[in-house]
Amino acid sequence: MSIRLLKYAFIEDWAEPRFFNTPDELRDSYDVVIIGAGGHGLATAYYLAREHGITNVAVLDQSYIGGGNTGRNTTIIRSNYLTEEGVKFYDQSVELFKSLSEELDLNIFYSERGHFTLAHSDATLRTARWRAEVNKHYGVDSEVVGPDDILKACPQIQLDCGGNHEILGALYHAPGAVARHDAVAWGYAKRASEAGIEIHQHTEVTGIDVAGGRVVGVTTPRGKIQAGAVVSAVAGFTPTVLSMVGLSSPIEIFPLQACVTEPIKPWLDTIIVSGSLHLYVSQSSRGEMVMGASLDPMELHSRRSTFEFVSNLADQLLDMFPFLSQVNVNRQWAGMADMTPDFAPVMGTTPVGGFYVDAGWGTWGFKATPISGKTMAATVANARDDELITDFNLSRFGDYELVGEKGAAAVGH
Amino acid sequence: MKYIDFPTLGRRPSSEFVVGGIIDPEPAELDGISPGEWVFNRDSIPMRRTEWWYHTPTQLWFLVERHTATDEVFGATLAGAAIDG
Amino acid sequence: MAKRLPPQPNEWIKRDRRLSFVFEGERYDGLEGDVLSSALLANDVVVQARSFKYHRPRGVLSFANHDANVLVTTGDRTNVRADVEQVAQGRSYRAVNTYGGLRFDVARVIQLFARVLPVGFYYKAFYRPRFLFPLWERLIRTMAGLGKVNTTAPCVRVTRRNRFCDVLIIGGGVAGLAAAKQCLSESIDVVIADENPRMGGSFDYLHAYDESAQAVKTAILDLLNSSNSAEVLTQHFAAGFYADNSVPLVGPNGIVHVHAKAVIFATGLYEQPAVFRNNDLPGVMLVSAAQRLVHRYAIAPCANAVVLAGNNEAYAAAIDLQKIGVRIAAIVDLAEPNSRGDLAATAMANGIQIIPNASIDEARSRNGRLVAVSIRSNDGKQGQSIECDGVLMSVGWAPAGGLLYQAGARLEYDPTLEQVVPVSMPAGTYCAGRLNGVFDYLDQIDDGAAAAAAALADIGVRSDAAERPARTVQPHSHPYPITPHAKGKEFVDFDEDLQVKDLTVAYREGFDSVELMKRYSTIGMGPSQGKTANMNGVRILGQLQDKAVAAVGVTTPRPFTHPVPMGMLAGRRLRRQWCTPMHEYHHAENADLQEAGTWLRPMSYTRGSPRTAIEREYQMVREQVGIIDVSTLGKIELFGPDVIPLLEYAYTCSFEKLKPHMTRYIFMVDGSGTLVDDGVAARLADDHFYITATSSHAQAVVRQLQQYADQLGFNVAIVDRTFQVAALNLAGPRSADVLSKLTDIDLSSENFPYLALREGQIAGVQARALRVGFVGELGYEIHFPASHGAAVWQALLEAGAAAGIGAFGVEAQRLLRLEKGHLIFGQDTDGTTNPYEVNLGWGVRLSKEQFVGKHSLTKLKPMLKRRLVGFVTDADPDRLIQECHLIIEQGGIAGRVTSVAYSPHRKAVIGLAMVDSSLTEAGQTLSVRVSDATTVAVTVADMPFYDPDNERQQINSSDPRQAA
Repeated sequence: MSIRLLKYAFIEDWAEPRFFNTPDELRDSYDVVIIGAGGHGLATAYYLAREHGITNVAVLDQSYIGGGNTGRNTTIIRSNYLTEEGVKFYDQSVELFKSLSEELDLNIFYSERGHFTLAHSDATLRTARWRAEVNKHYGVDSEVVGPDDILKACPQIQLDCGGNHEILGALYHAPGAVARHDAVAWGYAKRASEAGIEIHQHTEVTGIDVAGGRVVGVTTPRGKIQAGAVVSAVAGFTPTVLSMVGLSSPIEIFPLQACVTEPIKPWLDTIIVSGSLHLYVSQSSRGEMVMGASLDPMELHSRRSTFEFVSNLADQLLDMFPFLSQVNVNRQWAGMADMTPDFAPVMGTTPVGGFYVDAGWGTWGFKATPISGKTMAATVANARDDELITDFNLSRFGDYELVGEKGAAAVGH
Repeated sequence: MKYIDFPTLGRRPSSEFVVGGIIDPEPAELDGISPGEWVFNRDSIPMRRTEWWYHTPTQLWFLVERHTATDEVFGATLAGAAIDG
Repeated sequence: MAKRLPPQPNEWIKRDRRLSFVFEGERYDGLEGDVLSSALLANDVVVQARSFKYHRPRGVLSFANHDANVLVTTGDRTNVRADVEQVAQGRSYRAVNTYGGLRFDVARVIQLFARVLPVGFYYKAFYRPRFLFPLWERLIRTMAGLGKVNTTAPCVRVTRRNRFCDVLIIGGGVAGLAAAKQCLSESIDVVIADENPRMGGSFDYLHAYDESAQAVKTAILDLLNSSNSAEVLTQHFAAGFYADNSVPLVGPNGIVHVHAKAVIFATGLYEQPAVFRNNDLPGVMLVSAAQRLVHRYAIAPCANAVVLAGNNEAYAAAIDLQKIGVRIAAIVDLAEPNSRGDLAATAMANGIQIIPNASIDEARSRNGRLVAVSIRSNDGKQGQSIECDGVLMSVGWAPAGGLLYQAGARLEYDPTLEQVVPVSMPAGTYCAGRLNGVFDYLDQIDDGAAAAAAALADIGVRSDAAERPARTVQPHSHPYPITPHAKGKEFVDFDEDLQVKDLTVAYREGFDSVELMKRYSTIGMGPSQGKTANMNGVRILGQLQDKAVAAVGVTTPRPFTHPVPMGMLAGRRLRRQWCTPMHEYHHAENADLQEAGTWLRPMSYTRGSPRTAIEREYQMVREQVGIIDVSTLGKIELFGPDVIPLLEYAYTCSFEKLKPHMTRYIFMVDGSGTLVDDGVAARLADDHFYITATSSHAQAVVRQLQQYADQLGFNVAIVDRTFQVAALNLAGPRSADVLSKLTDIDLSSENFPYLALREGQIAGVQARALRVGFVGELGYEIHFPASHGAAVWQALLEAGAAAGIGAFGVEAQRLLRLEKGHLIFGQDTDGTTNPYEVNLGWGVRLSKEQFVGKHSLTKLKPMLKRRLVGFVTDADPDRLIQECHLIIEQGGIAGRVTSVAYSPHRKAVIGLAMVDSSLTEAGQTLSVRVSDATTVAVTVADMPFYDPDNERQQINSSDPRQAA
């Protein structure tokens, strides 16, 4: 038992110091203003302080810490991507995650569970092999496994899926993990606060001031702030923020929904993903089945839930796990995802001087939290894209230099 | 499930439709805009806009006016008819 | 002690129908109509479960489907709520989440460690040293979770029903029934739902002895039951509110998904517990729970009660309970009893001791049973101890308003009423009754009627109703029914075992807003979603923040109202599966049928050893003749003056020069220049084309063509004939011989050259034959009405019997086409491939004025970075190169194998690979890394591997009809 917990037992009215500051006053000027106090924005703040000594930073959020997609995602962490730039980037993120609890002095419950991407057709099995080969090339632990291996890890799964879309194999990614999403945001907020960075919740940025092709500050209902650099880390709201500096992007906003069951005793140790059945499922440390599906079919800037989502998800899930039919779904919710045409993020410098973007995180943003913070911090500190993210620059679309992650997507033929 | 009134079809559930978005036809010449910008850029800010919706059972396209913040639908017209006048 | 009472006027149980059931291994008696909690209380079983974290004994709290502390399992079903589970004869129940049973649960030792398990303790420990975390995690995972799921339970899917109506009324209490009555006065279609087994709501227990109220209830219920235009759904709760007034009602026989023109919410209130030390002891419950127990199930929850009062309801209940024989030891009033009007006087007149301006300091137990409470006056003085076996609390209410938030209503805290009330409702939705802050019974009736009149007006029906009554001005909730105790155990959230201290610590550690506090402390995140916790949480937070409750805010309640089983959400299992007209044959001939999108297609025609089957089918096609079912192809017919402009716009090639009755290969890209689909276009007349599309993209191609036509105003009729037309490919050197026996089409090269299309009779059926050669042999793709599919197929097999004909499957076709170097879209291309990369540049006419992808392809053409090449290798075929193995060059990835197979023709392994542009010269050696991480050398080769000069397309006999 840790001393940290014993203090609660033996010191009267013990509570730890506030995890994060919430200063009453907004200053007139900061070196860096980060828009968005989600995992990415807070991680950027933390690495700005830790690795670059930049602490005159304000993180502003229209709502509360971690209240956007950080607190709404299904917390899967993996690096089994298809492209060199993707694999390298996410692999470094996984490495950072592994030691993040110690680094943040907060248990983020980083838990390696193994991750199966099921293949229900020859075509998806081929893609699984492609990803496995690329992963292995970069030292990432992925392999194509057969039905027997799936059964060994998850004996409850019905391989015939009720008669359609039989499971033929899977891409198995042993390092696939889950973590407590909120804790990641709080941990970064805590460390950033300790370094003197200010976090201002409920402080919406309503405008960004540009002069001579450079950002000079932001406008909030609490007043104008001067800023040497502005970072946008606002998944779900990126196009609106970009429009404040006159930038266009390919990012479109689609709702992504999820739901959980009531807590049940642990029976599922792994993370199961099926593209064909449009679902993913894992069991949280609280015992809830955490479940998600594909994006909603049309652009929408709203976090409304739909009944179709949860009924379709249950319909598909029961093909794989029929015994869950009498397990209850407790709660559903939605986030807004920044979708890009090539399923890769948009990061780094922009044509507007001093304005940096960390966006396009689609459905894969949480797993990138540490590395995006680290690379964005380096990008801001050096005013040039970190080498790990040069392929993710906004300019790639105009240059037709798209990231090839979508190679794995079009296997319908 | 959303139910929307359509000309010629009546009230239909949105699940019968494929939403094609706001894609314009590719013009012969791009006017002051690079191919990459034309192809990829979207200004996806919340707004009331006209979208292409395809009714799968009848294979008809409709133009649907919808607000992308509230999902409110204001009306629909048959696409071919709208263009023919 | 708890016991069954003599018959009560409104009881729901059937006295003459006894049944027995088993709880925790012991047999008990109950009555038909009992729920598990009431049946257990009838047997004086007050400890019904253990709590989530500390494994403390728990019993009935709300008795309103929020008793997430009393979860049981039946074996197949788990996390079943005892306060709503109808007891069935012979059924066996166990409490969930105990170790060694409810009584001896060894996990209760966790209570001893409670002091070192503060709020969020798991964030603050167990991560150093790192290698120990998995052990801690396993322990935490094991302790977490509630019920154990039976992984062999059968799948119970329950069909959903859609119900369209004019007005949906949610809640069948006083206001809901009044609204229903108003609706029934007009001939409209109305659905009224209530989660209880009977309609009536508080009619049953707040107005049990009021004869006029009972008469009103009976009259409305009679009206409802005799109405043709009303559907009454008891035991149905509204699980959520979704866009456009869509509300799934979850009932015992599945979900009724209601789509209403207008919705009236009469969902009432959730009674809120007081927070004091040991307020979780079994025997401590809400006043409304006690009243429901008494009047619905004839259960006296205790014999000697202390009533904790924060409102008038507490007094009324005390007087009520006294009548049925429960001794009221005292009413402890959080405030001044004078404010309770006549009720306090009546209570005193009935001999009830009233302790004013005080609260319960602590509840005490002996041998697990509540025995006494000690009183603390509001000025902090410790008061007397009062013996009791029950504490009944009525200190306040929270709206059953989850659906309202989901609908987009705005709710605010009304400081006069000390309650959250709706302040604005979205169009088409109305609320009435106590939910609306209207407490007086007669006002509730008027409020229900007025809400219904407004809803009716909304859908264009005029009706007269009383004016909307004003909201009640006297508070029915106490602003702070919370009595912190130095020793803790004052539970705020029973689901999650959260005490006042937990929220205080969370606040002090920075989680000082409702959302952050919820996430850090997990308040409201348990199975009951905070229905009895959130309001007190907000009150505590308000005090910590030193703010008015109204300024604290609330968290957004999300669907569902109560948990919903997945089998009900899923509904019936419907899966689309398409079979071709020749399916019976494939099935009868042992084809290995596999899914290709929605279609089933034969891969080869022998189960067991596909490899020999594929070889046999291959040889048959190369040497004699074979047929393959290609009915799954998309088949689209286009007519009209603008057909050429449409195709020119949609596809990359030019169609102007395509002569009638000739075909050509076509492909489509999207705006970014990425390949989307390919097929064959046949021109039938100047303004009439017939085109094919790949099996899985057929519908998308039709959709796309129609959109282009609509966008550009082209006058073209586009007809999807995929399901009307069957197709087969007759291929092999003897295909003309076979076909000639069955057709009146002149098959001579002069009349029917390569790439031509001819129409005529084949096997007595009007058909189109296309001379195309995907597999690299003389061949005919024959299209004909699907209704004749099986007959034509059979006729060809018979006509070709002498020539050695047989059916071949997709696998043999893949091998045949690979030798010929033809692409398979989706295999040799991926979601990023452009035409230049797969050597299809010849099919792109950039000089066309306008077509989809033109601007992108113009940009991409000079940027070629990779290209598809053919390769051969002499390496041992058993050192298997597989599709998607990588090409490695100087330690880096330089490409990927997209297709590979052993070529019987080349007697070597051949394949296609997408490689960096620098590696595409014929003769270039490439290293393929195979699964065991060794590399295999392959050589880039010219394509095709088979018949480079297309000699196989020659018809050997000058007159095939004579040859046959």
